[in-house]
Amino acid sequence: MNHESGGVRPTRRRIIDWLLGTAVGGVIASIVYPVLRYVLPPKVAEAQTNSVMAGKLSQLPPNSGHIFRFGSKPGIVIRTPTGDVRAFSAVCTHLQCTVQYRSDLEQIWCACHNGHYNLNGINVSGPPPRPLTKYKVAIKGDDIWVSREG
Amino acid sequence: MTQQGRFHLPIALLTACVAVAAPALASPQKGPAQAATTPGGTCLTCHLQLDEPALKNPAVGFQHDVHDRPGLGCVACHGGDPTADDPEDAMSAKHGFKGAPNPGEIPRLCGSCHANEVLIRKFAPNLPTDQLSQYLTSVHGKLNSKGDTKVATCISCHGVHGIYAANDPRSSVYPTRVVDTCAKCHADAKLMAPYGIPTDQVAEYKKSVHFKALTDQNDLSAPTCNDCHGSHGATPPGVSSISNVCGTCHPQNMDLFQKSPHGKAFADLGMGACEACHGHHDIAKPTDDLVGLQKGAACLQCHDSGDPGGEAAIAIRTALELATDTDSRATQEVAEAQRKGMLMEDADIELQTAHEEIVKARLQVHLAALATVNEHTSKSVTAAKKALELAAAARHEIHVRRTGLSIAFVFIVFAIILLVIKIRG
Amino acid sequence: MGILDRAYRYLDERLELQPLVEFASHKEVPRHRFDWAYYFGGLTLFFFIVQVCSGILLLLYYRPTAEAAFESVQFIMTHVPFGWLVRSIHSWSANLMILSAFLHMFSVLFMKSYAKPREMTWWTGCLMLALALGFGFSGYLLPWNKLAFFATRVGTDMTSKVPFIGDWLMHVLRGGDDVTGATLTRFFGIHVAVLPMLMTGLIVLHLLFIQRQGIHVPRGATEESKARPGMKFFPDFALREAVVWLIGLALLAFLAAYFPWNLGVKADPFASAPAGIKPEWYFLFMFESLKLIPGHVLGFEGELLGLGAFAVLGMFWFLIPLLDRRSTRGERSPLFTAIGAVALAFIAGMTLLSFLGVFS
Repeated sequence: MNHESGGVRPTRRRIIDWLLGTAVGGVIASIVYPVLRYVLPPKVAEAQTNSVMAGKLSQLPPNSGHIFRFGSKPGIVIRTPTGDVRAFSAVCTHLQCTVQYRSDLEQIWCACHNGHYNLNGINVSGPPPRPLTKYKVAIKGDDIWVSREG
Repeated sequence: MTQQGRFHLPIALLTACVAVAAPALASPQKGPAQAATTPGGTCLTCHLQLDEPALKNPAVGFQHDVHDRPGLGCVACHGGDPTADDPEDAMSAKHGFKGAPNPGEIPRLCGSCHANEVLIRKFAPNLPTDQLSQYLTSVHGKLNSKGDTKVATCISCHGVHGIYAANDPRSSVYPTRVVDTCAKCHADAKLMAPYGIPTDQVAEYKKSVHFKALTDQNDLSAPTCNDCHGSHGATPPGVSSISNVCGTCHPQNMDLFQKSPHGKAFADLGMGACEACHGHHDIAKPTDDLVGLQKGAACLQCHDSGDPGGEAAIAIRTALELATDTDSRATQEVAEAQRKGMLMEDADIELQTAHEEIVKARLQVHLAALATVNEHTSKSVTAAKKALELAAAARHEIHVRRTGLSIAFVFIVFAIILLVIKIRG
Repeated sequence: MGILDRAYRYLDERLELQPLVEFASHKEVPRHRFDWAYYFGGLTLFFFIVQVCSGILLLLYYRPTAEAAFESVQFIMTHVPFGWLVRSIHSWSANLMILSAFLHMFSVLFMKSYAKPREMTWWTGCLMLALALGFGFSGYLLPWNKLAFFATRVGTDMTSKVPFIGDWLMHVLRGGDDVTGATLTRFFGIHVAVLPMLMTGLIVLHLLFIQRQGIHVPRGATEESKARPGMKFFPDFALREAVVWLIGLALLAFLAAYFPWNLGVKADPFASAPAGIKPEWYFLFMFESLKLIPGHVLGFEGELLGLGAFAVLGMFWFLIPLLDRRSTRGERSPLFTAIGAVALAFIAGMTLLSFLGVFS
């Protein structure tokens, strides 16, 4: 473009222009590529830390329980002997072990120190100092959806 | 009264030993209906107006006494006539006035109602009636029967004139207050001297993990004095019963211990069980330092490095150390990656397993078998190592990001240089 | 080139571009020993453009509610490809924009470029700086993390010190009595709609004024700029500005790679305030000064007095073009140079001391 600067040989200028074009192209590419990747929908379509599919109703007979993953912590969904579906955090309030459903006791039980919770997640015996955190349950067709309350 | 109204009647009466209406109810002249309509009667009318504290305070206190509610008046314990206007008449022997009962009489006075199953059922069908019989088996009760007037009776712990239900937080036998109630006598060196009992239990207990749980975390299920020694039948648990006492709350630890080689050996040697390693009143939060043969370890009391038990102790300790070290390293690295904006949910799940297996391994220490401890520690280490791998992958990802940005950076710098060259030209 | 030429001819035929091109090709930027200062305005504009672009990208995933804000930012940083980069760039560019705006303002001040006839350019600039600070303040809360939550609580609390309408003002600003989800949606609206609209309008005015009046040459450099031929805006100045923008971009890439912006811990309105709550660095000089003022001065509340003083100083700063009569007459104005130097030293000094932890 600088035609008046006659001292520079045209070939050199052309090389510089070409290199400059390449570099600017690289800069543009390193902006466009991340933006494009960002705009394309990610694998998990939205922030879903508040609800999760905990399992299938048909695979959860009365008087049974199932551990599912809720974010980075385990949750437990139970079906009471009368058929209610309830969900709680599966993290024992004593020393953070993972609790399980005991069909013989009809209670939620922690193997680590023999902590017992009733079917409302309330600590009824053993060392747990607090009830399990309760989750909201919604049944959509055969799917059990669990979400944090509040 | 409204305060107490929140509590169930049966529980409200649970441990109240004093001032119940048997005499009044039994008396033909003063029927229960009359006593119920005017629980305090003229006793309160007069005594509330008196200036002398010793005469006024009982009347003030009785107004919120748990026994006021079922309609029991002063007469229940003291006799007399609460309808008479003339003090002379009200407190005359004619009306069965007894004055203040002496300490030796108190247990049986309270027991006249509280040990009467038929009577108590009328007020509180679920209230136990074994307090008196329990008391008579306790050290306190035995001495009281022998005429020792200094030992604790019902009113020493529950108070008198103003007794609250045991589950009322204002009650002197409410879990958080029990220790200070016992301390009134048991921390008093002068009082305890004739009995030859140490007086440091309260101070020791206040250092314990149980006291912390009770006060700091307000965990009312945490044991205080009476949970190990009994309430009405208060007696120190003997060597033979100590592990059963601890086992009521720590059943798995007790089971494992009794199955362990230690279970029989301790019993044969006539040694206590739990307290040999954990102490009794000043039970601290147990750490892995209790295990092994290093200074301060509990195993050192019986074992040394030559014998197989000592070797096992060292091995168990080493396994625990490996697991906790790996776990804490993994926790740290995962947290670090999280701080750098990496998604570490999978690693958190692994860490959860790693923590849990350590908890289980620590429980298995009571079985004193290396294999079962190892089973859990190795699971923990495996999980922690997975978390470490995930943290390393996250670090790698950060590195990749930096590399990517460095490439962009190079392009930018290159463009800058060429532009400068072009401008110079 | 053929296509470009034809496209130009197509547009020129319909829009009569020739006069514009003519104007642009004659546009010149004076050359002198202070001409490097002319680039800061453009650099600020560059960071603003980056803010607009990265901000729009963040809007694709961000959710302005107390329940989901933190999680959505976390989601952007962890699940969305290059989300960490976009967020980091947005945060860093915000800070660099304000830094660059400050540099631009002080360079203008020392060159006395605000003097008549350019008062209005100074005023639009001052307003834009205020808007930029507003951007920073409102944007800081949006990730809904602990630090931002408490900094916002402290910051909005200061407005309650304004006489008579203070409580009302704080109530309006917070959308309630305390910082809650209502504050968040409010700040979000201000951050992504109100401020950008105002800012865009002011930028257009600011640039229009400069186009209309040409670039100001400081008093000390008039001889020099007369002696040296001006620099053509196209392509000479534009290329140099491009270098500056690329440097800005390189700086962003470097910062995003080596100092990625942290997310912190989710705000818990019921937790007690953590120790050492500090606002963003560009508010530090005010924050620390207000803390230094004793509780009561001459019967007035210290903080109120401090805020009043800053309000007066801000007003003074805004009115500098009218107050500095010597510059208007084209004379030397050492008083205002000194005032500028004191202000710069105060702002830079307090900020630096705060970072060094002198006040904590």
